[in-house]
Amino acid sequence: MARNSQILPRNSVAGPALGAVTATMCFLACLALGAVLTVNKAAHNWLTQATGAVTVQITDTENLTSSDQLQAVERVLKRTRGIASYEIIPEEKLIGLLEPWLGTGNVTADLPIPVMIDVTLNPEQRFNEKGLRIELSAVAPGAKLDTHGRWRQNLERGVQTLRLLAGLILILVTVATATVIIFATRAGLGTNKETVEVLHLIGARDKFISRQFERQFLTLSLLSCFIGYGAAAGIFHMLFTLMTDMEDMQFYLLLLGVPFLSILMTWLIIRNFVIRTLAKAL
Amino acid sequence: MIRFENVSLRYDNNTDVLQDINFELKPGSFHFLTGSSGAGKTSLLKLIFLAGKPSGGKVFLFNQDSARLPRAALPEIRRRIGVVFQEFRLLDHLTLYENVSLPLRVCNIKETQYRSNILELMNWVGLGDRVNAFPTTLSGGEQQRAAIARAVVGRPNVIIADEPTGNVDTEIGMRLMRLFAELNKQGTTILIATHDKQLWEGSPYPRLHLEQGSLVPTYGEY
Repeated sequence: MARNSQILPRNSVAGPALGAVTATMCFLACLALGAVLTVNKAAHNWLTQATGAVTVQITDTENLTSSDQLQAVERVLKRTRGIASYEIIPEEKLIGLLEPWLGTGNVTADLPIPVMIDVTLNPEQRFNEKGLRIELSAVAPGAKLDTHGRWRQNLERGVQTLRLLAGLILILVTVATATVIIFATRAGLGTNKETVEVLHLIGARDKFISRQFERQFLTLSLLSCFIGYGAAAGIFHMLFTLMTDMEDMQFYLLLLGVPFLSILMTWLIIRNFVIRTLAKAL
Repeated sequence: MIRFENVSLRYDNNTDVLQDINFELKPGSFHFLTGSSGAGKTSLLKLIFLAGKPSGGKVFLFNQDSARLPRAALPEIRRRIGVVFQEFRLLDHLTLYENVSLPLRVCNIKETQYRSNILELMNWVGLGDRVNAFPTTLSGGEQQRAAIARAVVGRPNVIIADEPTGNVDTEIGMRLMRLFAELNKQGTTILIATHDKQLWEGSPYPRLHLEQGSLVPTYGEY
């Protein structure tokens, strides 16, 4: 029996080509956002490790050898608040670290190797980096505190650059998608000119006509956005099998924001564009 | 109900289509709009169903100046005017049932509320067995009857028909005229544009006669 179907002809507004473009754009946006989230998390892990530890390096001075200064440094470390533990790195280990640069067996006994102390900080206590520096220089002029500041700064700068890059990609993808949707809507309005005119003449409101366009676009974008999301999520899942401690549900939930925002954006663009165009009609 | 005051219409190429048109259609009246092809009948009708704006003068629809109507008010006015277009303007991708029910759908009326009425109306215009057919598979006469069904389905105050019997045989033509007369008896204002003399000759209804874009008096009638 007769039943009402869609008022606009199927595929006359949003065809398979537009679906493929939307899916690709959503895929790229998911990749960009996923990359930022992954880099952010990795950087956070590295920075947490790096800020949880400092190194004290003791070198010989004119009057004192590094060994002479070691005891005084240890006393200072023991009484300094915020230090959980420390460990003097054995000389064999230090030689092992130098060998890749100097070659095996080339580290001679007269090579001045500094004493290195690996200090682990207590995250629950405040650590006064400046105070420790002053105290160390007072008791051991050859002692130097390394908080890995430069390395940390470089890492933060790198992460920031990646964030900006991903943000730029997201903006470009958004602009490109919006442009494609506007062109497709314009083409859809052109293709359905006769239908739109008849609808107007029998008393349809602009909002009613706009809803017909929105329905077709949204059905398509719903499908294509989730295809794009699924493909990106699959790639990240494969990537995470190579990276430990990186995969979690929160990541995929955040990524899910991309298809939802894409659909919202599509809806707003179509609604706005169609209503504005129809307002110029009779 | 519908009033033209010194209405003129000029196209962009400076062609005068209508000049100094004055008339009034009272509620419940029945008029023919006659004239040869190119006399301006369709252009005049377009001004009534708001598919065009006059270049001069005023068109009053339901006591409102059409030029001053805000855009948001146009759908309501158009819903009160049922139009049978000369070229039918049925939507080819929709079935006859869907085409006929379109004026009700655009008013967001639920299908369950009008379904039986549509089927009854389609039976009445002789298309009861063509409910699921698409316009392109129908004859001109069948399309015309579907267009009439679509124009009357929303029970408009005014029905405007542009050559409604142009594609049908005499018998169907007379049947359609009886349909318009019946609607008129129920209070619907009717304006039928035609160049078919047989249609209005001997009819009790007055006519407006257009010649080269101007209304001219009709002997003994106007």
